[in-house]
Amino acid sequence: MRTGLLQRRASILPGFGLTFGLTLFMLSLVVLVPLSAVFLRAASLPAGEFAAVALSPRALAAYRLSFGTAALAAALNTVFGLLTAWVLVRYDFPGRRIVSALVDLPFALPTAVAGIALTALYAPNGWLGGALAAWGVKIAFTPLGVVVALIFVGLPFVVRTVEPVLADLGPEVEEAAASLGASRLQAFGRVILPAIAPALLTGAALAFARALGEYGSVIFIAGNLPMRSEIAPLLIVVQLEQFNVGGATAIAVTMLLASFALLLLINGLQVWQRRRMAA
Amino acid sequence: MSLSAQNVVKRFGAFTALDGVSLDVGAGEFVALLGPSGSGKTTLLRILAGLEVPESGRIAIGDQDMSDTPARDRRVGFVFQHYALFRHMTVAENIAFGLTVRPRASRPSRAAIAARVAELLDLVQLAHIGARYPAQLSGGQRQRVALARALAVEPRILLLDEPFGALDAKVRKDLRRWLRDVHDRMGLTSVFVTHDQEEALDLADRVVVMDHGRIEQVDTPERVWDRPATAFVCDFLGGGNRIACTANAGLIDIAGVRLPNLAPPLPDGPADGFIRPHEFALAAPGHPGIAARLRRIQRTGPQAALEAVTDSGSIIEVSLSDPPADLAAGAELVLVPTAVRAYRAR
Repeated sequence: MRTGLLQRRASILPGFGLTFGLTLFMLSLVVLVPLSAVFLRAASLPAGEFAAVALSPRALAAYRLSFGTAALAAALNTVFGLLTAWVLVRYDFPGRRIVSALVDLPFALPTAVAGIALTALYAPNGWLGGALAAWGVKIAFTPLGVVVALIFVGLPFVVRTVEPVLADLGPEVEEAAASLGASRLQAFGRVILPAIAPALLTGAALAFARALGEYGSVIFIAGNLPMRSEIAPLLIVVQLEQFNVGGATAIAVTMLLASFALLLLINGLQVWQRRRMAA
Repeated sequence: MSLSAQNVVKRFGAFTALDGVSLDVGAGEFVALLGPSGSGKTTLLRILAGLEVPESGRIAIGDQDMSDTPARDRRVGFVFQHYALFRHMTVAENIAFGLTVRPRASRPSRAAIAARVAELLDLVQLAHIGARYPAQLSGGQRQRVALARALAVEPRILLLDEPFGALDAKVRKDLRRWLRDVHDRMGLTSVFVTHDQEEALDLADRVVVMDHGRIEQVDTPERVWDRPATAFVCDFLGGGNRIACTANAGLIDIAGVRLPNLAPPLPDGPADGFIRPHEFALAAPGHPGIAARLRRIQRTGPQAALEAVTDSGSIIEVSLSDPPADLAAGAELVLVPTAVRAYRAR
């Protein structure tokens, strides 16, 4: 028998060929072909020109802002998302369903709406912005504003990935830890956190990926000052508006490669985590 | 170490799980909490462990009041029904957990912990699988790991919630003997919850029979079986056939047969008698006894299980040794009860 990548094995589940083919076709159509087009377009640029745009100080500042704020937002979402998931799973309180529905709202809301709402709230003449301005804190039109918007769009990812795992874990292991003499903190740090870590990591990765690509809500609150509060996706649009399609693709490809590398790294981390837990 | 609960009341919303329960367990005893689901036995166990807070009542271990002591300070070993092993830790790490979470001052050295873990792995006969994860173990192995983990902290009391509930029959029997052995060798005081009467009678020094949040009887397995205090206990422990009878001057009259009552005395009048399948004899026609028609007979070796229907249509199950060879379905029988436990008619 021939051995190879697609070894034929008798399977009870029929239709592998058909479903796999369709999956590949859809993936190609929806993901691979458009992304290849970006690469092809970028590849037609002379190397010098590519570098001049993709590695210009303005572009570098935009990458730094995009990756930095996305990472910060994902980190904060991980903490608060875990807390929210905890509350939703472990406690029964009036209005639990409403809170649960609220968590999903950022999924459904057009991001521009979120952007406008957040800007109105945090602008120097807004409710919160006004109060914070008195303390000398500026949120709207600064990188901080970008983080606020990204936290908003990323929250449901962490909550929804951690929630089922936490529910599945049940209160028994905590009780077991307590009966063995562990304090609350020890029970959390040594029993619960390691058990939900893979899910938490997945949620954080999703929130991070979402934040990296976010455009709609950020452009309203960021102020979009070049070198200061201009995110990479916006820079791409700016290039396009100046009819510099080549420059836009150059930045796009750089973003694409960087985010792909990061997601791959997170994926690797998860695989390592799961291995450690064996099964 | 002895263990006691006084007037413990626990409610979950409108449901009263424990309705004023008092129980004393002597040092070194092995006690079973037996009852149907919803009887409050698991709730009582969890309250003893400090995993549940009662509305009122006191809990004491030895001569120390533990009512307001949280679970982690009670030094009570608890084995969960589904083991609740930490799945991201190896077997050895699971067992070591209780020692490694101790404050630095009282924590044994790494070497001492490793030695204790090895000792416990030996005790539960799992020395070869210390490096495995719980997911790689069979049910019986997980159960023993859970026990070793609970024993690692040298608990004064061992509490087990349905310890054999999730195991198949063969493993269950082996593990039962083994657990009793561990209890005796380590000089533990243990309480376990079960809904399986055979398990309770086979394993425990004393059996606590519970129903609807109350204790119905606390006695040795022998007494609980032979002299059930209430109709519930009798019925739950396989009371057998429930037959209407009459109490009269200390004796029980069933279809003209008069027998002493094996249950607590009851006033004259109508009563519910319980007669176990093996507490019948066959008699010749005309003799006083319960007239019934044989519906089914199933012979296994020298034993036979009979199913008879009385004139009033109720079914009586009878177990006979060495029944007459010609006994066949359709025969008219006279069943003479040889023992009865009778309780006030409900």
